Amino acid sequence: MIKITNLQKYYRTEEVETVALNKVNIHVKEGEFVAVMGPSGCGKSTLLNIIGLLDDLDEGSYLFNGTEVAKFKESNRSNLRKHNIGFVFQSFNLIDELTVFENVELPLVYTNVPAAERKRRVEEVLEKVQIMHRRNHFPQQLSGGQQQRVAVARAVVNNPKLILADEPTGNLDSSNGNEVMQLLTELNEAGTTIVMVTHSEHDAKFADRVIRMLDGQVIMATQTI
Amino acid sequence: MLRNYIKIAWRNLWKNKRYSFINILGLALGMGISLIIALWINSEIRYDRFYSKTDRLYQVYTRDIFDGNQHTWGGTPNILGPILHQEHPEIEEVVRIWNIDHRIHHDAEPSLSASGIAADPAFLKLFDFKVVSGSYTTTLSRPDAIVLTASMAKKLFGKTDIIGRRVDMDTTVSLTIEAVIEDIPRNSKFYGNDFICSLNYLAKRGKTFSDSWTAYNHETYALLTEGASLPSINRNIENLVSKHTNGTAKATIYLYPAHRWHLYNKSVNGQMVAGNITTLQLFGLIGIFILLIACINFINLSTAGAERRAKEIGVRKVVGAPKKSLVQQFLLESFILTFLAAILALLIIFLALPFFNNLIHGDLSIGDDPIFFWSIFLIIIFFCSLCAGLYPAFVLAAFDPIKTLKGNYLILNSGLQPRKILVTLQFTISIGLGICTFIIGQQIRFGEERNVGYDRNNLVYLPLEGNLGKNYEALRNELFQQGIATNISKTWGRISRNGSNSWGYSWPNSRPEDYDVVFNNMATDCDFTQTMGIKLLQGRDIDIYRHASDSSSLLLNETAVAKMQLTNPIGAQVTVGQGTEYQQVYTVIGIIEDFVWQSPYQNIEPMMIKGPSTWSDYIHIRLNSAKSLLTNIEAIQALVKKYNPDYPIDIHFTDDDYALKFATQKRTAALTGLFSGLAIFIACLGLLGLVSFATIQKQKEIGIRKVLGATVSSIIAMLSRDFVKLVIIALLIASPITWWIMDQWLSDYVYRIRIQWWMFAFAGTLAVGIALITVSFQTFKVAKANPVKSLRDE
Repeated sequence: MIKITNLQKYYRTEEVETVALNKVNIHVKEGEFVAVMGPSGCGKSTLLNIIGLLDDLDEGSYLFNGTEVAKFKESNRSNLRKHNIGFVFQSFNLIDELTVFENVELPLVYTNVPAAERKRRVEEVLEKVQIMHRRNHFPQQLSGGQQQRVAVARAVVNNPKLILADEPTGNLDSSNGNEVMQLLTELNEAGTTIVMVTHSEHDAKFADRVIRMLDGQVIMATQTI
Repeated sequence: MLRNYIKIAWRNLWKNKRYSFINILGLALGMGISLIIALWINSEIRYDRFYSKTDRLYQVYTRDIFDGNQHTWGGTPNILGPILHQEHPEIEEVVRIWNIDHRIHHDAEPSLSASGIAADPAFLKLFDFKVVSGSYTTTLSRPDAIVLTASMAKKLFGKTDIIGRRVDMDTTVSLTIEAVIEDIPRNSKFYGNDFICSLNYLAKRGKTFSDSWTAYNHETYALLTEGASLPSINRNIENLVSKHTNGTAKATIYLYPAHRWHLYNKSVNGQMVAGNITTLQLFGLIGIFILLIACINFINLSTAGAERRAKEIGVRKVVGAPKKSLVQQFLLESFILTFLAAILALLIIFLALPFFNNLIHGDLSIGDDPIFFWSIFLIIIFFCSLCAGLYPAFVLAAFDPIKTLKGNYLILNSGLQPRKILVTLQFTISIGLGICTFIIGQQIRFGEERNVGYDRNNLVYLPLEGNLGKNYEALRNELFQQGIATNISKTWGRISRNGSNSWGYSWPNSRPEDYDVVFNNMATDCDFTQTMGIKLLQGRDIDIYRHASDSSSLLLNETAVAKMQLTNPIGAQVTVGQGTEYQQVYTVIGIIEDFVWQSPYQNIEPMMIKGPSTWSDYIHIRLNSAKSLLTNIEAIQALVKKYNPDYPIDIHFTDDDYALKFATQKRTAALTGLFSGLAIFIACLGLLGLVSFATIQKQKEIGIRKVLGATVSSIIAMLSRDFVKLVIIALLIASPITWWIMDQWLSDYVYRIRIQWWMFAFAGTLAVGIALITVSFQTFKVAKANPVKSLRDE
């Protein structure tokens, strides 16, 4: 599903050029659950952003389902993103002015799904993440765990092929963290490919495979047991 | 999608009530003011455009050269009208008019003072005012018929159904009412008139008009035939006066179209190119500026407040929102906000219109021209939505989702520079308007403080009307006997208002070109200098009681003596007119000090005060200062009542009358003052909003500084510095521009102030002070806050 070859990414300021990712090669198959680990600043979030087409690469190739997307224009990226990729962030990133229902509905709005269908799908996914009873609440009225469940619901409501999770349990206590990991595992078992950046060895164990990074390079890819 | 946008827009507005309020109030004020100005401009533009034949209506104007300067004016000789009609078939109708003031009454009712027009028969064909009752088709061809306005009819009879009733004019002539018309609209040249009657009516009363080609005392109007070419007619009629005077009169004439009468009512070097239009252009520009200031607030507050929206934008982008849809979303928000502001603007207009009408002496209303108002209303909503929403929409839609979602708002600083530029622009305009107001105020004061050359205090005048002329001597004697007056002068003209002028004089050693020198004219029976408090420099005053020959005596002012180059003026003979028919000889018996008769901002013109051979129309009374003003006035009222019982008592104070000379300037000052105050208020609203955002952004920095020992005052100074700097830059930009504009404005005045640096310093200090106070509302609160709280929040 994802094939990245010789990926180079630099950050430039007026005086310095920093290599964020250096000759990274990654291959993620459809239905895989991959965890990316490494110390802070090693480039794992940058990698996730590039995979999610939020950021662009400077050199190398990125095949998404066999299509070269490295040189995609912004409109193509957003189109591919909204139909294929769901995101889960450490800080949930829900829109404070929208209710739980409306937050989850948002991706469907941008894919022009009819209102009735939107309602059905949002309710279905809210049931799945067990937050239906809070559908009319605003994010500030929910606990961290509940907010992240809403964020997961938003990420999957469009039935994306790929979910990118950036430290999804980073802001949660262990009990809420486990609930979220359980949700992701269930989604993966249902066929969704997941790439998750994490600091937590515990969370990484939920993945099929761990990619370890250091200073912008992949240093090891291991199969988890 | 649309519902989602509206929902989030509404929730955002509600959540940030304070900024929303600032934004909406600022925009509403801007929209309200500019709409009121638009209403005003529209009403001015519509002057004299509502007659059914407006497109073919013209006034005959005269152009001539005096003292080497070309002048143009709307007066024409009485004889011109009929000849113009006779000789030029492309002119369908010609109408002469003569303005008259009368006392009207009917039966035994008390008389009312009324202004009217005596005109040739076709007047109501040219100016077809709406009929309320009766018919006016043939009215003006009959000397005994009259048309009244509805208001006058109601004042006299309490109703308008009065066709066939009779009214008495000045108790001497009785006229039959043939029609009642609607009140003459305010935007008509003839506004304020209460009746219209035939020019022949004046002949019936014994008034005769000279057939001289050089007495320009009638207004003449022409209706051209359909399809007639104005340039061609103007070429044909140009030299008509010269033709009929065998070249002795050099004045030329031309037709001046109705749609220009009100807007271009001032001549510059003999061309009608200025006047009300200048004021309208000025205030039109101010309206646009104020709207711009309000839109800038919107832009600044939207971009500065973007931090609050950054996460939302990031999330929307991540879930696939294309840039276009984000731009649409923010434009829609801008439209919603503008729409709310527009509703508030309507309320502002509703509340402010009576006040504004009072200021401009107008009666503007939305209903005057609803199509115009609502079109402008929609255009302004559209303009503001787009103008104020476009830039923020693109700035916000361009946010990098990765940075915004990580809470890294550094990108927002990129909007700082444009924001600073916009704030500077706002204050440049506001300070500029403020300086203009200040300079206009100074100029008015300068004029008011000018030595007028006569004593305005304790000097009153009353019109010599009804039986007062007949009883004048008795009244005069009683005023003296009762010790009410110290001096009395029966005059032609009033001391505090300029009236007639004339030319065509010759004197010892005068040159042929001196014939064109224009002299201001008044006339007196006696005691002119004593009554008015004017200094007599040489000779003696006119006194018909002691010197019967004084009917042909003359006082000259200093400027006249200098202009005439008379080395020994006393005894000099001044001849009026050429030939024997109109010729009259005056002898100079005294020289008086110059006094201000026309505008206090103009140079003093040559003036002659003639002996009482001319008719008199006013009595000037120098009150006895030993008695109280109230006693004096009550005594005059009693005497006037006694000698002129049929007429209302009409006493004028010269100082009040003189103050009217400043009415136009004071109106301009009041309007610029009002608008500049509002502009500064709107700009300060924006400043307040911006400071609020800036302090939120700097909360952590403030916390750290306080922990490290910074005082409250040093924090306030730190936060205020940036904004005050912008205001100072605005002052530096505004100063030279305003200097230039005000220099142009002042050039209209001969007697004027010099623009001084301290005027700018004063206005600048005031602006910086206002900005500091505005900024300190927010900075003081933030600087006093507990640093631990802001650091913990971080």
